[in-house]
Amino acid sequence: MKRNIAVVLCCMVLFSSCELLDITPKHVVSQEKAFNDVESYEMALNNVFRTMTTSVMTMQTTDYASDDFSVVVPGYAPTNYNIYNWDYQTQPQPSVWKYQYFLIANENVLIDNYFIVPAADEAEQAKIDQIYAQALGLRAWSLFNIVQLYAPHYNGQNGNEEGIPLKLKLELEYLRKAKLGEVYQQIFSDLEKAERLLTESEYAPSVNDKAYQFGLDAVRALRARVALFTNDLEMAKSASAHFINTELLNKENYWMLWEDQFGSLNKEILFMTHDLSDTDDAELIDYHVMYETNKVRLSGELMDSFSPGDVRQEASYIGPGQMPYKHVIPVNDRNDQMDRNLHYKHFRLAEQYLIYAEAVLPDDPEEAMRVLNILKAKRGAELLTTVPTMDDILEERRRELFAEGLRFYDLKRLSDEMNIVVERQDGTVLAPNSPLYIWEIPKEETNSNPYIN
Amino acid sequence: MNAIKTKISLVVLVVSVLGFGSFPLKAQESRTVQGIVTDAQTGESLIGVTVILKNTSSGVITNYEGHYSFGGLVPESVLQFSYIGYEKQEVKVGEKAIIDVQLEPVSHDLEAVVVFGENRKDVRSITGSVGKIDTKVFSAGTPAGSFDQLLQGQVAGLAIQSSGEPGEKATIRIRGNNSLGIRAKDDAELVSANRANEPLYILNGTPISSDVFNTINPDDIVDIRVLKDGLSTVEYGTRGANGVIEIKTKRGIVGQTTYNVRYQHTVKPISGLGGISLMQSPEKLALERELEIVTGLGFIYTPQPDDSEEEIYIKNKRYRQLESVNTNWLKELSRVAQVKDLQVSMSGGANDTRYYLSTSYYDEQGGYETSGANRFTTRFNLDHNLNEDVSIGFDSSVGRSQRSKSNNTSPASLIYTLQPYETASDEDFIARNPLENSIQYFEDPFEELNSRTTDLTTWRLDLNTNLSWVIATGLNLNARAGITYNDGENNIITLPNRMVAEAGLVKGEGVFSKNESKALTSRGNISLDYSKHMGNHSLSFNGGTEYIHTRSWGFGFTSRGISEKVDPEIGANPQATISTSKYYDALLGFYMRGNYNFNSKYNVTGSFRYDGSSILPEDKRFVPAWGVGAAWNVQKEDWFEPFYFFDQFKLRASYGVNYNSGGIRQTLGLPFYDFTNSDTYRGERVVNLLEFWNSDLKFERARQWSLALDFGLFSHRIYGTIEGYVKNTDDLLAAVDIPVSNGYSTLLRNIGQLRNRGIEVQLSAVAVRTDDFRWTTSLNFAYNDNEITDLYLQDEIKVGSEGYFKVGEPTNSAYVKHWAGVNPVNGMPLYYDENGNIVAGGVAPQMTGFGTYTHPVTGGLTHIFNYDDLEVSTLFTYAWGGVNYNNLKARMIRNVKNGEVPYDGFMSDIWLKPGDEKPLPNPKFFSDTSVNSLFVENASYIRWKNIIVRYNLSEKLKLKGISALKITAQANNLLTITGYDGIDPEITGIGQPLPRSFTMGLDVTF
Repeated sequence: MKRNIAVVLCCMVLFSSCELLDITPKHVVSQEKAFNDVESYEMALNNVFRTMTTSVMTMQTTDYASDDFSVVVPGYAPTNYNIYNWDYQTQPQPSVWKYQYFLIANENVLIDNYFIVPAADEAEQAKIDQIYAQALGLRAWSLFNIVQLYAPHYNGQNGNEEGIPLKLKLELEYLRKAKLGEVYQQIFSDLEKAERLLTESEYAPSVNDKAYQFGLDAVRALRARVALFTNDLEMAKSASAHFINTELLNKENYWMLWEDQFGSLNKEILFMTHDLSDTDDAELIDYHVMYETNKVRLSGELMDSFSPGDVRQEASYIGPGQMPYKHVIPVNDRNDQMDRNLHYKHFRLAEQYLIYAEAVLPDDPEEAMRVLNILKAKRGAELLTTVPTMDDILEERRRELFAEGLRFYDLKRLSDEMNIVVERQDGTVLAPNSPLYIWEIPKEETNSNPYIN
Repeated sequence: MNAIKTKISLVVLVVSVLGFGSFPLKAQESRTVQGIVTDAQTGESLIGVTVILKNTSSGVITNYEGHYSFGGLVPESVLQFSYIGYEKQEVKVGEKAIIDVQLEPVSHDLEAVVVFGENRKDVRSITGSVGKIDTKVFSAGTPAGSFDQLLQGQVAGLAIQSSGEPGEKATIRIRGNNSLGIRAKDDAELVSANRANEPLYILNGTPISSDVFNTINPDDIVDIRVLKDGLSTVEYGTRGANGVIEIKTKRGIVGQTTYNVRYQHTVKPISGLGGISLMQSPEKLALERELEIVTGLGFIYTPQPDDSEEEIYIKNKRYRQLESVNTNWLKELSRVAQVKDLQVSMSGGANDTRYYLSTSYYDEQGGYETSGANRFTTRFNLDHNLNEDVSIGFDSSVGRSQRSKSNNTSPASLIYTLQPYETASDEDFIARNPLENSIQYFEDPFEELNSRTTDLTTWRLDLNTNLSWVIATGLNLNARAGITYNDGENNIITLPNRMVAEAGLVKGEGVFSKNESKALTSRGNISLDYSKHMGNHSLSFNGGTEYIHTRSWGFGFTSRGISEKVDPEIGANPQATISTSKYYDALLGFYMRGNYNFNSKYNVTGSFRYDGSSILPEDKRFVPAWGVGAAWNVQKEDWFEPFYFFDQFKLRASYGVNYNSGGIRQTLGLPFYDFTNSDTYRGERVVNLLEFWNSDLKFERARQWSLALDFGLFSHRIYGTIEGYVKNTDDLLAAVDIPVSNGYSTLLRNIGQLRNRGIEVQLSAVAVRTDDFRWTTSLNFAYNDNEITDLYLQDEIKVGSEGYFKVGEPTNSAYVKHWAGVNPVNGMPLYYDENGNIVAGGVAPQMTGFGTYTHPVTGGLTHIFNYDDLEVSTLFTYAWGGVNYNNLKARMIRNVKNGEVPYDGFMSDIWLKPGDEKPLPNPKFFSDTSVNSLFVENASYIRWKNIIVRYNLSEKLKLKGISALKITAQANNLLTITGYDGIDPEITGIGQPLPRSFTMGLDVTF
């Protein structure tokens, strides 16, 4: 009898062989399979762009730390209020670090898998290269944003100071801070590589699509920006020179810059992300609401600095004591209803004019004046009659680029040289070279990374 | 005040019940006897015991509660009690009205005969720790949307934390936190922490998730067993490490067909906010004026320096008018909720066939118009003996449950945003509708409450067959097969409410989304039992295999633009975003158990299970769980005779190694990419990394020692168990922080070891037993000490904003900033740092030392009084030693500056001007969302959970053919004694306290 039991048991064991447990996931795809065609590789790039459409991915939260806002209340978004007070420790802490590194992870998906995507022919390989190059460029941009905020300003001399972790692959790592010099070396080498791979051939399927790709123009524009912020005027000049012959919109058509991103006249947009706010995919909290919950008021100093006739100050673009309408299409002749405008325009032609003007200023102030005046004329502003000072350029940058996340960077690089002191109502001061220019690395990193505290 | 009211209403209730019949005279010719038949060793009630009048064929059978009632007897009558596997007993009726009988098992510690199975002894309880919950809890218990609410206070070491919302499941822990769960503000985080700590639930042999609790009719349950130790859970292999809760449903009892109809009606009055009362108008207006809250009318009607005289006059007048308005928004928005519970069942059987059939309908209204839950279930069980050797069984159940709630702003938080000086008839809710663009505009709070609703419907179909075959003497084969089909449908409707826009109010578009999820589980189980007696030696073996395969798939869509002209669920825009899902997994297990018994004195058990799971990579797929145990019936020893008053004195010890898959998913082991993402970018699909991966994941392992004494005293008057255990869990799984520079912030990892140690005491006693009165009482007490013993290579691990694990500390410590008060100079909060120095908010460190969110001591106390046809039972539950975070208070102080309403007297607690010595800072300077010790409060409590009065009228009314006609009255959550200053010591959120409720019911058996 017992033998029979044993036999039965053994049969049962054999019968229920282990194949029963070989179940591969149905809903997801392994890495090798995921990237065995170009289309999927491109979808991963779409994912990067999509991630960037959310308001938290824009760097505009840094505006709160600048001198552009005169009133900010905590409201339901206390983080912005904390940034306004240069308090980077109180919870909830700023999330730039977290979101930009998340973006890097998405970019690293593309960079890590570049070599496993098979190409059937040269055309396909070219396409793969274009996608890969965009990922490199985008990663350089993310790294630049993080290093700008969380490390000391890099002036080309202080390369040995501590920078940020260089996250160059997807897998789990516990990284030390890389040297500031290494970080910028990585940024520039990524940009160079991208520039080499990218072709001028309007890779984008249509002209409309061009500004949605992080193509050659975007990479050049970024290189000019990085160069300027690292005091490499030579590179800033050479990179931005490419753009200053492209025409800006006439002042009558200035509205097109914000409202007509697809118009053929509008050549001012170098890179933007698509507005998903009217679709299901919308991120409900956008920049506009951010302003409202914090009851932001633009600083009087900024408001007053526009000369009469400057289209940028027109009521529909900026209202006294109101939030700026750069990100909202106002009610006007063309729109009977206010609409969000979340086609974030990350790189614009006007910035390149300004970079160029600043880069040539020491050697060729006349040229700087010429270029600056082109921009001023197009915006209906009063023209310069004498060669510009650094002050003029910085002021013009402020007027042109306010609420686009660049002012704090400008303060960081120039407050020392130009002795700019930002003061809050309660008396807190952001002095030149203040440690408050270096944002505190959030607990989400320091809690778990033994090398950073 | 409330408590006194309750007591009065209770007295009225009891009196009215008693008033139904005058007390009976005892000297009647024929008498009725009733009682409960129990197992003499364990005190568990026995179902289906035959009670016959000696030398006749007339008899009755004990019901699911082990209770019988026998009429038409005279004092000379002799009753015979018989039950398979137990020694027959005879009792003379005499003058007794209550006759309780304790039957002695024929052969100790061995499974008796394999017929039907209801009378089988649970072999695991010989050496293991198996807690049992009395049937009465379910059949006479609280009308409850879900049975988990009924488990509280019933078994030592089973800790339940209820949720206040209707239909929401409770948090259940067996012997403490075995994984590293984190207290979390975020619901999603809480769910994942809960999963890792949750026990395994088995319904009639089938694993179920706690989500299906609300499709089970509590009245169908015949018993619930709680497997606590390492040995008894071995049979669940990789799933049993957190303990197991086995639920068994009723099966037919051989005998005359009995029908039972029960209806219970419950009323839930509008509850308050526990220990909190909200601020009234005069104080709120003054507060708004003081703090210059721009949206508040108190500020708006404050005269300004450049106001004209007329303006000042109007402002002051309006201000005074508002001061006299006092709206209680909780009352305005809530309703008195009704709960209806109807239940019909039928049970019976002839010699070879028996059946059980039940249907129930349950309908519970929530405290708000839009919330509620209902459930319809039906169950059919059939058992048949084909011949002497083979019996087959079939059981099936169909259940439908539905839950709906307002999904907009949580109704609970709406209350705090409505002003006491506003009324429901107000035109403009200034404070709610600040006329900002792109924000929804609501006519009144009711519109807001109703504008977004969620409706979840679940269908569950369960089919099982089993076969039991006696192949030879002592050798049985059991086979089971079954399928379970689950179908969930979740609808979320956002009505096209108006939005604020530049041009004024515009119509919003409205959104409808539907998510359907389906799961089909098939399983098969085959096992062999062998047992052999040789003189004083008995041996038994059991071995088998089990296979479970689960297919889950789903479909959903979201569409914007609802037409108002038709039902929002079909008036949706045809352009929709679609999502689909599909997921399969499987489990294969082999198990063996052996038991050796010598002379009913010594018992040794060994158990082994080898489990393979498809969620692990092939090379690590199989995991062995095993356990051994021994028991010694000391009372059988000759030398023990002087201690004759012990009916039982059994020592048992066990050791077991178990595993827990705690949150491991197949996709966590390797990088996987999601091609089902419904997100698109400019019309193109996107592909993303599904989640960050960890290729080193292992199952958690728990090793548990248990040592216990089971005893019975004074001729079955007292039963008790005292048990101690040490449970070491290693390879602890926790979703811990990883440096966020990886792009992802948490990852499931095996991070350390922890130890739970504890003592459990379970006592039940018949305190008084006379011929017509019985008082039984049972008490359980559990103490658990939880400590992290190792965090591989690290001293501490921080998780999220308030998770903190440190070697030597319990897992669920409050990890907060140490509050040092308010700076009298500027009204800013001050904190202590580690060295006791005072520091400002931003740099203040978080620390432990403020207690743990898990109560070390938990338990319950039950009393049941029987007098004649009256039964009164009552339950107290208690928990001691833990803290709770007063989220409501924290929120109030943070959000006052945005216009929200704080508690009454708040204004005198806050700092307003230099020199003020106040406990709370000026709200203007307080927006720190991090947790701090000010809001950590002692949450020990003792709760008078319920009192139930049942009165059997059938004797009084002498209705023909009706064997029992009971009316019941019940009150729940009557009184809570606690020092906790928030909503409810058991509730972590800002919702409502556990609702007080009153029930009347009628229960007819015929």
